[in-house]
Amino acid sequence: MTTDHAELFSALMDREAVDPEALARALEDPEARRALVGFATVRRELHAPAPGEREWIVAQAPRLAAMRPSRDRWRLVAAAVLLAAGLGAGVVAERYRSQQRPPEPTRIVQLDALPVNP
Amino acid sequence: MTPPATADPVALGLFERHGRAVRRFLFRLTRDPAAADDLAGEVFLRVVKASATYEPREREAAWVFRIAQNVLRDAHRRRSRSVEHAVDADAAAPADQVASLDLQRGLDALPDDERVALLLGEMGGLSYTEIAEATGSTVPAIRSRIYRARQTLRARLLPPSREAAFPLRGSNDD
Repeated sequence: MTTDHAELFSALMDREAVDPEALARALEDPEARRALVGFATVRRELHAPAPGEREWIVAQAPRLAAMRPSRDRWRLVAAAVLLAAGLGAGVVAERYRSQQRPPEPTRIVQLDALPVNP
Repeated sequence: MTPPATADPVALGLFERHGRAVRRFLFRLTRDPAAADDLAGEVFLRVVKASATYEPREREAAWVFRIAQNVLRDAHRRRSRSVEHAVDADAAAPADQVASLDLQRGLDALPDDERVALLLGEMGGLSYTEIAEATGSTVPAIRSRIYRARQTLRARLLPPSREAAFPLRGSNDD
């Protein structure tokens, strides 16, 4: 068996494009075919359920489902920022307006009408 | 399962499609069911957080498994992979799990780069290009690592004596 034959089977198992003629040659190589069977065994074992897997899935799914999407959190944050910005702008505008107005009188002086000279 | 109205459908879909594979990937790397539970939970927390910004420019499996790798890397920074956190695979193993023990021992014996490349390909279904991007390597190197890992595991699971029990017939067999 050439290393290339078994390596080609390995790549084929990984959905990589392989040369069909090289594949035909590899299929005629008995040792490469044994390697292919071995690789299939490795795959089967790797994909066997791991301990505790089912329990984790069952526990995790509702937890995840109950989580609020981060999109919604960002919307809430954005709304809060807009509200705060609006309030802040209102306060600043009011201050600005009050600076433009003449000051409120602190005392009022009333003048009597002057007598008119004949 | 009907998710409540508050559920993030993107994150839930990702969980349904990849949750099992991510948990399996993390178990194969940690050998510890509890650690795999915690890490896989952390992966999907990050998925939920990031799902709002997820854009399907890359395959979703590659995206989820990149998050899984980051979670694993962060966990390794917090504590190095050590025997006190690893389950003794030999202890109290049912007889029908002998093949799994052989597999786990084989995985443990692999160099880290071969183990990660193989598991990203097998569990996540990532292409060589995606694995190369996720691990900062090259496509030929990934192809070679996965091949070497498969050969090592094959030799462990099917030693020559057991392979001989299943002879393959063909024109060149003799």
